[in-house]
Amino acid sequence: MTSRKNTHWCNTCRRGIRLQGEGMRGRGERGACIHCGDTFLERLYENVELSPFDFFGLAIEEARNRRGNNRRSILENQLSFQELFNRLSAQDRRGPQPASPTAINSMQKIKISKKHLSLDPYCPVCQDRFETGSVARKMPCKHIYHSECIVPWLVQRNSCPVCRKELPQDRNIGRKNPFLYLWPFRSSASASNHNVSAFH
Amino acid sequence: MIDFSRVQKELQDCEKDKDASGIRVSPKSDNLTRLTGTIPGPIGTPYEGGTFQIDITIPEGYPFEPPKMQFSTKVWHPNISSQSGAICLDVLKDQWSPALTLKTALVSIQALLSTPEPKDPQDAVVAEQYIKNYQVFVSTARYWTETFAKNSSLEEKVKRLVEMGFGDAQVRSAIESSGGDENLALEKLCSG
Ligand SMILES: [Zn+2]
Ligand SMILES: [Zn+2]
Ligand SMILES: [Zn+2]
Repeated sequence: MTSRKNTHWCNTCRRGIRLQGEGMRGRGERGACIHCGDTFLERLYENVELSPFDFFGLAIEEARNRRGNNRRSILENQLSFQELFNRLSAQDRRGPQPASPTAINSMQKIKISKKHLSLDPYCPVCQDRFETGSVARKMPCKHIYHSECIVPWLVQRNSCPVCRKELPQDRNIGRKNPFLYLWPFRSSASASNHNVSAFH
Repeated sequence: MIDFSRVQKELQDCEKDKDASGIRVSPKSDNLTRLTGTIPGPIGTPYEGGTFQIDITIPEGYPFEPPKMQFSTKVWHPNISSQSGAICLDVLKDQWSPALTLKTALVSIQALLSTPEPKDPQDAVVAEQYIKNYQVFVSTARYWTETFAKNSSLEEKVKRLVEMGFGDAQVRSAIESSGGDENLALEKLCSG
């Protein structure tokens, strides 16, 4: 599934999307979701260190890059964060629990070897064959997925698609708002810097 | 965006073992968002001998969201609406996982036909009958299978006869003049 993968995650629709012309990865350009038109997207990285900020990737990157010289864009993002937040809390009350960002982030990264291919040649989500030498994610139950195939599911529901085992829950996080501690916009700059550095 | 490459792959996989499984999935539209699933009624049940069609809609979030499925063939079963064909089945709702497929969902529906769960009904009338008067339930379900799941649609009849090598227009007029009777239409076509 090299050419047809979802390139971004739309936080508004909460689903993976593929932006055309993703080959040109200009920093400043940002795409809009083909479904809702929202620009609150994050890039789904492959073979790249996945930090919890990848869930909020573009927004945070922009916030970091443009700090100070483009307050408005940050403010817009902030609104979207608020929306995402309300949505997550609302879901939390009724629906299934998402995996904690820390748990997702610390999920093992493995390089696909011939041995893996002989055991699990296909990603259970996209059903494509893994490529030797590419990086994949291994859950504690040993099931292997492409990053962009497992992350969008785990942010929705903490359950291995194959065996339904969960990722360990982070005890420090309140159950109501699992993303609360990721809130990047603190009133004090030091708090926000501290938060950012904690994940890198 | 729907992962069409995965839907495409699923269709190919279904095609490969359709004779063994009896389960088919075919696209209704070019863009693969609407499909038709077909399952044979399980042997030893009131649905035996019937062929059941299921309308499938692939949602935008597929496979992170379950496919939407409902019977288009009328069926008498506690967990399927006798009116709308809506199905009460956990894997189509909160027990969905992106590792499941259209085929595994259809297999689950087939299993549901074999093992009704009247305590978690979709159709309260059917469920009550199942619990209170099982024999009547069985004969009603069997009657519905005979009436609705064994009758093929005009288009299916046309398709079968066209596959035998007759022209489309010729087939349609033969079916029409024999009052929808496929065998009679075939006789007419063969005789002349
Ligand atoms: Zn969207
Ligand atoms: Zn995959
Ligand atoms: Zn697993």
